[in-house]
Amino acid sequence: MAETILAAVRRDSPRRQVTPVPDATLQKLQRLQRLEPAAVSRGWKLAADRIHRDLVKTLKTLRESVYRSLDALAENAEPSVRWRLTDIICDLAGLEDNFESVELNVKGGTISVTTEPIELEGVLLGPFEIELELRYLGQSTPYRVIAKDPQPAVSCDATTHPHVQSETLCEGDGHQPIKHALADGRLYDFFLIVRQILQTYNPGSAYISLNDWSGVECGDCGANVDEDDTCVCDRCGRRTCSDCSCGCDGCDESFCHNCTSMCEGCRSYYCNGCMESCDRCDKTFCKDCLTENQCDDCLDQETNEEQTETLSEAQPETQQETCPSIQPLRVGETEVLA
Amino acid sequence: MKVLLINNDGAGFADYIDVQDETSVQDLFNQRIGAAQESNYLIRVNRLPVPRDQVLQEGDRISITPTKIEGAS
Repeated sequence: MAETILAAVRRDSPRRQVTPVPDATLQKLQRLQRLEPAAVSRGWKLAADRIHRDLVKTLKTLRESVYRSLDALAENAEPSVRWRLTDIICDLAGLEDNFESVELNVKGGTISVTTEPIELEGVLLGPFEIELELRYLGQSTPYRVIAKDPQPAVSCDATTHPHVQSETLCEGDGHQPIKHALADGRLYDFFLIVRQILQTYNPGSAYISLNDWSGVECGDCGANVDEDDTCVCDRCGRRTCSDCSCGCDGCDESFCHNCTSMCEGCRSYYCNGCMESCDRCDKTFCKDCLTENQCDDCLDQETNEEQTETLSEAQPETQQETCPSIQPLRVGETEVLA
Repeated sequence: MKVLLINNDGAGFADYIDVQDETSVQDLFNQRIGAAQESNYLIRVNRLPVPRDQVLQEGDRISITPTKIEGAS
């Protein structure tokens, strides 16, 4: 297995990959170099001038390609350290001291280690398997990070770690050390670096914040719910679950419980902007339940009072008409009718 | 004498360096990492954890890896 790994590293290391000069550019250069003297010798001045301009342009393109290749080679310079078979064997032995389990799959060409259960800021994420696929060495991400006991975020099953999505680790600060470890074939360092990234939480750049890992807390009832099942109050910005959020029947916007109140008349919920106070009793009602700024009860009461007043004003005249006998005939005397 | 130093703090280059005889792990850490806290690093000699006063030997492989490496999204 160690020999297979060493061969894969020597064959596929990014340090071995040279940026090639484009063939098309070289062929164009050769063609123009043939055409230019022919055009000059035949006295085709315009054609010769055009070929010359193309030649200069092609040479400049070629120069840029060469510079790019040189830069790439400088960046991926051959290491001063030559890794040997014994280094690979020692790396594999070293992994066993640092991980719960190490698996070598000769047929599948993979090396896997399993971390201990990882817990970040009180959120248990479980153990992770880091599987390096030798056939992908030299590519950008030749390994997968697999949750062995997945505890994904409530809002996304593919996010098993704040920095792992769909079994791919976003390396962040670990990108360069991982790149160099893989290019050198330093398996021990590679697995150690990946593990340390998994044991670190970077709240500034996470797929899903650990605060929202178990869902979003409803501002009203306190339950943890999927973020997709929440609403943001249009008035105060509080996030509430769909059970606690109220749609105002007046303006159709969503509000939290605190920003709505129940109409005393129709018993429906409205936002404060769609509610008005009754001028008489000061209770709040929706606009439909108020008539001339008064609720139905107050309106009825007012009508009754008005009727009563009318009656009380009309009553003495009636009595005067119906009981003319009680009118004194003279002071101290009353005519009594039988 | 020469030892192999792998500094995973930063770019993660590996290279042979010259150190004086009787150089301890602590001395090398101070020289290479400076004022940083040792507790923030996994220091391994020949892939094994060692005491800070362990004296380095010719050909030792020393790796220094931060305990916290921030991923991204």
